[in-house]
Amino acid sequence: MAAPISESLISLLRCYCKSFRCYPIRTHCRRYCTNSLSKTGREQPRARDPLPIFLKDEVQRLLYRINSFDISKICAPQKVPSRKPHYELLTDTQLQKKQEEAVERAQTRLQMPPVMRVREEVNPVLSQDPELAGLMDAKLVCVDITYGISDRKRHVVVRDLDGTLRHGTGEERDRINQIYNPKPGRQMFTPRIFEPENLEAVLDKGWYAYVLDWACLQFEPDQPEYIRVTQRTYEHVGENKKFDDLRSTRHFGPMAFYFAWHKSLEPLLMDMVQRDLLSDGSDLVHLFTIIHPDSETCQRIRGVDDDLQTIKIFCETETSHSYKGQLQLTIQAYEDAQNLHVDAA
Amino acid sequence: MPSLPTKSTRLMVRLARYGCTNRPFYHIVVIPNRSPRNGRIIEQLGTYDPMPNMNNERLLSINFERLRKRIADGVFMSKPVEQLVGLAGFYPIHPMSYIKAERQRNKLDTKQKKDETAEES
Repeated sequence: MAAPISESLISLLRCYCKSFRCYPIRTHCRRYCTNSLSKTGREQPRARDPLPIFLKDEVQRLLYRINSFDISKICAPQKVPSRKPHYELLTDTQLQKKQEEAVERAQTRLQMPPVMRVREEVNPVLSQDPELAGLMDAKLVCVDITYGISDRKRHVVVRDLDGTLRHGTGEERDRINQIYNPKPGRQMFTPRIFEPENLEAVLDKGWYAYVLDWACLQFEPDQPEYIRVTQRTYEHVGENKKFDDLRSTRHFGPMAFYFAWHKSLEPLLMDMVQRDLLSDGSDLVHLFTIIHPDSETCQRIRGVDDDLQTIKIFCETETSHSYKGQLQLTIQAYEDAQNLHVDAA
Repeated sequence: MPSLPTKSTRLMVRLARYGCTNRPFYHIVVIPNRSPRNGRIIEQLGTYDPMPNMNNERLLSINFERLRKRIADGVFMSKPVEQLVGLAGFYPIHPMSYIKAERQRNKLDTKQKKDETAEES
């Protein structure tokens, strides 16, 4: 249809998405591999790995639920090459089927990029051969281009100038993979937009989804640059309270997860209370308790059903001193507004 | 009547030069022994770029799955390919690699000594 989507259609789709919210939405999305990544953790004093927690079904369900499903935003007009309009004559059932397909397509657009920690740099030396020193004036990089190997499992070995044979570093692997197995849209050299000073300029303009989409395309989720860029973007969003810009995009879940992980949920929680999204707020608190199971909130929240009560408990136990007053005021304002509403009725 | 030399038809893995003037680029190919250098190939196994790139690396790519299969079928390798595959850690290091390395080191040593004596005098 060339005409803009009518109001009735949008409301119909909203009904759909409400019904979808009852079921695990992940069934519509490509599943990320969980085996090879989360189970290779070596017992070393590294930062805690967020990936196994992020991939828990419970966490995924919460994250999809707090991300609103605004189809007019997900399927907003995009710049595409011009083409002729396509008309179809459909019966009611066919139309309904088409609409369901459209909703499923929109769901796939909300698939969240995984939250991972920075990859480990282990470069075991395969062999040392000092007899070979002086043979070459440049390193020799050998890639296994066997068909059907994933980029993560591909062997990349390097013969150094002193005759050492070792596995390629992460940076080398990224470069070589992009040469021999290029990803469409990914650039050979890191775009200058991701340099810290340029990134600040773009973030100040408020192009959050643009930066995050591009970072998803350009980097692997455990690449140090990806983690730096996304975390800086989330922080910028938090500082400027522009959470609504990321709603109905695939980045809202990872952002909420980031704030919960680093115990700085308060701005996001205040935003949710102000927008009358109490169920989302309590979901967020539940997410916090899953990530930090030994926190005080976790014990006190057990058996509490009411959304507002949950948020209040979080406010009492976890909120830092600087935010406590603000969050309490926000909750107070919300309650006053509710009471006014009841009185007027 | 003199007998004709036997023309063996065994298969080789060897380098076929592509690229252009002053810019060599090689395909690693499976090809009958007696075919011309860039003749009709049976299979391409990989590539080799002998010119160092901006990170001072020479890039060698090989489909090791197919190479294993070809080796199992009894293919022969040319010396440059054997040396490359040795440096990549797939084969033992070719003896010629060690000899070349030693010659290169000796060359550098004599050059250094010459420079030193030139400076002293």
